[in-house]
Amino acid sequence: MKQKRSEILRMARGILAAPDDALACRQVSAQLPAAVDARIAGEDMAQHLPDLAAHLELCAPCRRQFEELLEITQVAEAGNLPEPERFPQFSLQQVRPHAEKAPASLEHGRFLLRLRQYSEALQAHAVEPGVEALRKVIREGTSTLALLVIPARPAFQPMPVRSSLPLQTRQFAYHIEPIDLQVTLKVREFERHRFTVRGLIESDHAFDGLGVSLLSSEDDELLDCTRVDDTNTFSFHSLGPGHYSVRLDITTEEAVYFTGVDI
Amino acid sequence: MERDCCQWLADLQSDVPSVQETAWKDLSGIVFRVACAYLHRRSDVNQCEIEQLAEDVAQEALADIFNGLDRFGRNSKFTTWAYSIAVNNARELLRKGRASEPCWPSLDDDETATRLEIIPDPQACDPELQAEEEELVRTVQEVINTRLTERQRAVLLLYQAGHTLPEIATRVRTTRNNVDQLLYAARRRLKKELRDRGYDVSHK
Repeated sequence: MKQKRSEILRMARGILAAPDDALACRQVSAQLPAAVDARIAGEDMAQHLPDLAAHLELCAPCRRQFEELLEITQVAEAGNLPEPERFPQFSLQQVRPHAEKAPASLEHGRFLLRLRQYSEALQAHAVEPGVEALRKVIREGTSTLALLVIPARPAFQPMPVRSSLPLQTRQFAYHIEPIDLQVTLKVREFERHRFTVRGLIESDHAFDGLGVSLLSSEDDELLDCTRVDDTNTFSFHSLGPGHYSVRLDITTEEAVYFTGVDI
Repeated sequence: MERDCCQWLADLQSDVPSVQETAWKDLSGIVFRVACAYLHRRSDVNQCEIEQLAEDVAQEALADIFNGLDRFGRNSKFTTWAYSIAVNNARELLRKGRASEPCWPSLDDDETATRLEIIPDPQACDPELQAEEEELVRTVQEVINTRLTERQRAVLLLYQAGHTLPEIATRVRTTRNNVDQLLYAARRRLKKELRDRGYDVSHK
């Protein structure tokens, strides 16, 4: 993928100058209206919104969005918005049905309901070995209800020897009966020290389309992500040896973590 | 009638149907005109389509505002927040309506396709500074190509090339939220690797 030298330089300098807890693009997007108001009021953004100013310096797409919103807002504040030839008639009755369209995630509603009930029960009193429900604060400062599941004892299955260096498969099984969720992760070494993780979700629910993430167990760094396909499976490729967890994103605020994927 | 932030929220959620209806009508007029203004500025929009597109944008934006009223943080003017929703919806509508997506190489088939290549852009400057810059660019290229995961690298480079988070989410088959987290992870790792190699904020 080709990038201009000057853009790479600008990005590198911006990243070096940004604070260690720099904002993510999603956080910036939410703050752009306030930043635009501040700019129009003549405030020094570097002083009043230093984190945002630092991010805009390093991130060209967010900077473009800021500039577009600033331009439109200035036009509107100056009373120079265009006067179209016709105004469509919108009413609350028209807006409401659009607004109340069911989000896609509700297709997984029955499972979600069970997950929430089970998590509440776990948090309230029940303790189940190997499963823990907690509020996990993810990087953006928002809290995610996380169900942490450790695997049953990993099964080692050495492959038949075909060469002098036998390759291995390793299997991690997770089972949460109350929510009817059984996940098997099969790790296969496809060449020396390079692994593929293939996951199979067994449940009476279809999970196709849900996001699945691969994280480093050490610092929760997001390493790779994919989606569940229509056979309730997913896979990650070309992993090195390490300690991982796999996160199934049920909604943006609820997830199940399959921990202890030690390769 | 000019409304301030509190007045907008009160009227849009009023128990008095006539007050609520009037507020939504006023807001829809503003949002429609903002959508027109944004679309007029885009060179890739046919002028005769603007009002129809603006109507679609306004419809979606009003639904988003309706759904988001409880989340409005009051750290900006209400109208600026509403403009931002209209502009985001317009940008997204145009993205979806593009006749053909740029041809991206498949991430799954060819890992090398997502590697960073640098295009030189000639600029006259101090040769000593240029040598320093050249070294920094080479280091960044090496870190991006060897120290980021394939998915982190793809997200960082696609975003840097101007693609939006939803576009990238579709491309790398994940959620927008995960794209945002991958981007953050890529930048954090890039920063750490650069610092480990002796670069810091003073490298201007």
